Amino acid sequence: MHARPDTDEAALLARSQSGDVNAFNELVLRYQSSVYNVALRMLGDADLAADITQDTFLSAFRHLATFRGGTAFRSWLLRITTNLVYDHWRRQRRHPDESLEAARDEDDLQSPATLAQLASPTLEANPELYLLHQELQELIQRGLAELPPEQRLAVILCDIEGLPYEEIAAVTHTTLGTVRSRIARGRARLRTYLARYQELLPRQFRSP
Amino acid sequence: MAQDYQEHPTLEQLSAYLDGALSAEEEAFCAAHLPHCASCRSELASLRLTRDLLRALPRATPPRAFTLTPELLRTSSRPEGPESVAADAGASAEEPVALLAPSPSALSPQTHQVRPTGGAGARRQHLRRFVQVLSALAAVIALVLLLSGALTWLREGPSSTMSTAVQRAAEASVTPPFAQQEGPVRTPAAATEESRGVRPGLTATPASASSTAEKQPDRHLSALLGAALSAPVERLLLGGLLLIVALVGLLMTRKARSPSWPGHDQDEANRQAAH
Repeated sequence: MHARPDTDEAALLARSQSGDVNAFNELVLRYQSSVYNVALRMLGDADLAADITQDTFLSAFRHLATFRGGTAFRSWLLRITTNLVYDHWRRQRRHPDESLEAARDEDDLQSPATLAQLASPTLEANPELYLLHQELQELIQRGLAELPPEQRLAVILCDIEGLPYEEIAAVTHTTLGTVRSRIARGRARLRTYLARYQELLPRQFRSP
Repeated sequence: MAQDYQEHPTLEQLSAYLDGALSAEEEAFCAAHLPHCASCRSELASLRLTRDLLRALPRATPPRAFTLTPELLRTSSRPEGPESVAADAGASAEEPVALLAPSPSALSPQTHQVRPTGGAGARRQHLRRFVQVLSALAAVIALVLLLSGALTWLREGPSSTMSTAVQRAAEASVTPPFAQQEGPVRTPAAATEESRGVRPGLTATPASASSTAEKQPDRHLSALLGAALSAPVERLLLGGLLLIVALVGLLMTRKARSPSWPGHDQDEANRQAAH
């Protein structure tokens, strides 16, 4: 989807590694959508996702010297994003006050920031995509939030970001077998969740 | 999975079949099975619906450009800035890895190197490790003290009281058991005074006690310590205190350890549940 393992990227990476912020910022613009969308779907909170996205690129720039190719740059970035998301949850567990606040944010499905994020104007221009109404989008996001973190991450990377299994294994540091299992369980669990709301699904999505 | 293979494809196989991520053999098995099995077809269809719904979700447009500015790079070097968050993430990278990856063989070296050596998280972990080691050490010393104290007690009988201990301390500091010849000769009175003054400090902080005893070859101090330790009562008391401190230390580090993720990877979503 976004993978462009071209020579252009290699050149940008080399320049970034020698401290060229402008070169790095070109990479930021190239990958910020992937990073932001993964963070948003994992967390269900637009503000938090924006913070995580910014921190991902700051951290990546600082530790760019440790990136030596081999894996795709996108996988490396998404690995940092995932670490930051897990870290956020870990902090929440340590400080229940903050988590209470965050949980309220997450439950607030009328949150205008989130809705604005989800209603993408590019969608209407693309007749290939089904236009899912907002209620359904929120339902799916709630279903995602019900999944255990590893399954949620695997499903997001596969079905929303469109990453191949091999790249998901690289991002999550797992084997292909584990990736396969998490995607399957995540989908099955989400299916069970969505089945409770048949009436919200578009006709073509309703089970026969 | 092997026994299912003869009958129906597993949930995992059907899910991967959707993505064309099966081995040629598995793919052929599914393709051959599906036309003859309505339940597997409906299973596959429901998985496909779920996947298509996810795929149809609109991509969110990032609210702004996340390009790095000089200000961002500057402010992030503050201790509470994103850098510490990032360092924390890097330092704790091990935990999600351990949780996400049952087989470390899949680790790629690049992402492994994301973890910086410094950072608040790393420092915290080092401190925790340090306290743990120290507590363990204190526990060992405490047990030795308790054991030897109890043995001496049993041998000499409970008649050896505090006063004899102090007396011993005085004697010992005059002729220190493991002091060299040029060691200062103290009057018994001064020694007892000092041994009283020193003892509470020693028992209160076992870490400093052991370190001073080990690192600082202060003959006078070690003489007092040796004298104090030669009395079974004091050995028992000191051992008990050390044991308490050690246990407290170990308990505290256990609580401070980051919580692990709940093991959510249960087998709740297998084929039976689906049907």
